[in-house]
Amino acid sequence: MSTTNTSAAPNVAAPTIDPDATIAPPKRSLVSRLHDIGVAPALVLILIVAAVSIYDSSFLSSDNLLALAEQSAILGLLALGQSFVIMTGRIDLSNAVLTSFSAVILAKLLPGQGVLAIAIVLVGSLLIGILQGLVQFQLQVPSFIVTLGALGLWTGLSLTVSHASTILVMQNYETVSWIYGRDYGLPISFLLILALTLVLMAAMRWLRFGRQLRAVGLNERAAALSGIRTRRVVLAAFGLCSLFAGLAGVLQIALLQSASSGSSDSLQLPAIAAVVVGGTSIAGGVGGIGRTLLGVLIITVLRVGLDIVGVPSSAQPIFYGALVIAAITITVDRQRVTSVA
Amino acid sequence: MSDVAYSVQGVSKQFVGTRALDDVSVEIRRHEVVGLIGENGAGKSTLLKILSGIYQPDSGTVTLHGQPVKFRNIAHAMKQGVAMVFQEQSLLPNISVAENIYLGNERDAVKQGVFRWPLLRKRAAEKLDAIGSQVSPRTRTEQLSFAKRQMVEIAKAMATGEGSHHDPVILLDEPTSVLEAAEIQRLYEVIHELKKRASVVFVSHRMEEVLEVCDRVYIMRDGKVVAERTKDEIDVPELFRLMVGRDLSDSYYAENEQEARRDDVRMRVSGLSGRGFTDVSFDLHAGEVLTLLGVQDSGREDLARALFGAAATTAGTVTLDGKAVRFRSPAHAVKAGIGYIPGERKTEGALLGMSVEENMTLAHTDQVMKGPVLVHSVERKTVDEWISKLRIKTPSGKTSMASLSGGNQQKVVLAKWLLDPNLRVLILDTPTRGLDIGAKADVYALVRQLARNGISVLLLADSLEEGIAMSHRVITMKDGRVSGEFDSAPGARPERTDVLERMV
Repeated sequence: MSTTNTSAAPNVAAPTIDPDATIAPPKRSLVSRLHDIGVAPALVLILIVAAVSIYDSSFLSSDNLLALAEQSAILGLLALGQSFVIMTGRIDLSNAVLTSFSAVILAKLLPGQGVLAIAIVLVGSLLIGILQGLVQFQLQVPSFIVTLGALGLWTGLSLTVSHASTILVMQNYETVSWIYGRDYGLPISFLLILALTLVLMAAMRWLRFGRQLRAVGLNERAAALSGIRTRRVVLAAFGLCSLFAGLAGVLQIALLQSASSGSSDSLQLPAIAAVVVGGTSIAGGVGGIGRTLLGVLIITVLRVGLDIVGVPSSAQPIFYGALVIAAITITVDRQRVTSVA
Repeated sequence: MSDVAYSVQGVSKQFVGTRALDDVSVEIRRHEVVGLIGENGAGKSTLLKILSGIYQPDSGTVTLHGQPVKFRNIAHAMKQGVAMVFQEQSLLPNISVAENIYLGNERDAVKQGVFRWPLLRKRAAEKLDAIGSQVSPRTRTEQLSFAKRQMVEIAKAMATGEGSHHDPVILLDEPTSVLEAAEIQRLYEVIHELKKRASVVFVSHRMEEVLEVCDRVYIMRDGKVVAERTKDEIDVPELFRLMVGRDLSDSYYAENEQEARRDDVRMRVSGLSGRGFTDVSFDLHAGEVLTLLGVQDSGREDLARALFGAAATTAGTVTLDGKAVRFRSPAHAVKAGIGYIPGERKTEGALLGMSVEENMTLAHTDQVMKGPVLVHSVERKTVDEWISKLRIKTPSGKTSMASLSGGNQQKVVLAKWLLDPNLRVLILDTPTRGLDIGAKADVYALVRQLARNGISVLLLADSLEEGIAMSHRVITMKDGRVSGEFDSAPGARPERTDVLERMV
């Protein structure tokens, strides 16, 4: 190889927007650079907190903030799980409904089985997730169809099992009630989510799985042709998502001491909103776990903020819907969407 | 009347951060085929876009038939008889050939909004006849092969000049890049025909082609025209020097570095069948470069994928170093020490959204892991080593893959497999397609080096020349079957025509 007189790279394609020059290095705005390191969602969070606290100065009291953190736990689990699925370029429309269903099952089993009931619910939900993934591969059906169908399935099963009424947990409630207690004045539920987030962030960085997850989301064919077992990666993502949904069901019992069909269903949209507001690309491959936690906090503050400002809870889904569209509008990579002119 | 049909004088064009064209002057004479050649980023595509009216120059003048012109857009240029044949074609798939040829240019073939089909078809047939195309004007365009659609596209370009006093100027943007050898030959004939009725600009980065087809050639580098030569004044080595800015080292294909293959059989394929190929048998030796040549749908891509476990086989066996193997997925093949570079670099080879580092360690991540943990310091060190070994031009391993040039991307994709200390077979599907000449030479030298180290290479060559010059042996495929086999050594290469004969 004789690259002697070109080694200083004078005539290598310089940055240009001429398509002739192989691929133009994307000219990136400051905003998108900041976006990469998660500054944007952090700033949004600060802004919303500031806005709400100007409106109601008691918002920043420690009592209030702790209650807020506590409230974010179930949403947090759903959003963390959803992050994995969205990072593969797919979506799970059924995980909040699965949480309701898990809670119903747990409410039924807990009095008789105690801790075993929790294990059954968690293992069951993990298997459900893997099954949802398998169905996609075996039947070659997109994830949103499979999980949309699953949404109906879990809704129906919840209604059937609970006879459409609320199940109160009287016995063995103490098995789970500690989750919503406080240690050193801090809510255990939130510490749990925080710890989980840190563990998952570490896994994304130091385990091969994190790399492979992003590779699958960016380009499944290229990933497969690099010897990555893409199917396993996707199954793992759906398994984790559903496992966390089951765990969220456990938290719901701990919080409400009861379950009824549909008790967590309303979290579906906010959970997806949390992921995309955090900056994980809906197209897959780009994003992270830490930023999802920021997204969860944004959504939680927004919920409380909307209450404080006086928006009736019946109207609040309008905001989450608009937020999802806005967040995706800002973060979507349009080069993937538009065809080559 | 002067002999010049179309010209630009002193045009410059600036993009954010770069001067894509710097004071370029080019003239195209009547009934002449003018070549524009240069590496990627040399500015030939920008110049072509100015010639076709897509871009407007920042400065300089454009003159058509002696009159200064300022084209507002491509349609404006077409009205005046300057037509571009795009690399990625611009025909509508769901309408007839005749409609496509006169799309937007129907004139009296449409009366009160109604097509006059006989007239339209008659005119289209004339245009197609003029370039010797057998395509019927009634055919729905999507039913045609790429090569035939290109003929339609050329007919369409010819039609733009109708009604003008002058013969049209036809701009061909890398017309051969996706054509097979036989189709390229056919295109040459068409260009020869075209010359009688038009002026032609032929853009390419393949040196042999330009010398074959053009009367005169402009060589571009770094946004400038560095030389203008007639066909008779120039040969490949000089063309290379002008384009790349350095001498063509002893051999483009590093032929003097070819060593004899080793005796031991690395991979034995016997009676292998699958989708697209039937009963394929061959031995691949250690240290051998085995070239597979064939036209589109010859089955060589399917075979390559099947050998890598990315497609199923229905019959036959494969042994690797004497052991029977059956790969059910690429993951199995990778474990066994096989690497594969797909033909579609940007969509299947490289992960453009990841960094150089992540791309390089994607397949053999275990090389930079300790137990289950990715060790980032080891990864960085390994990647930096390969960056310098392969002279990959990138600011660092953290750089996004998307910002590298094609040649450097391809080196990263190669390194992904070289990371494997047990690499035994490398399957390369057109690894040099779309690369700069300099980058190609680098890839060739690298392939030679790998073969010398005992790695077996199965090369699906991009061109006949490449396939023959790189190989220890050439195997041709036709309709999914092996149709010929040629030994090949420096100084004793098989004849192009013999090989071509077995392909078509």
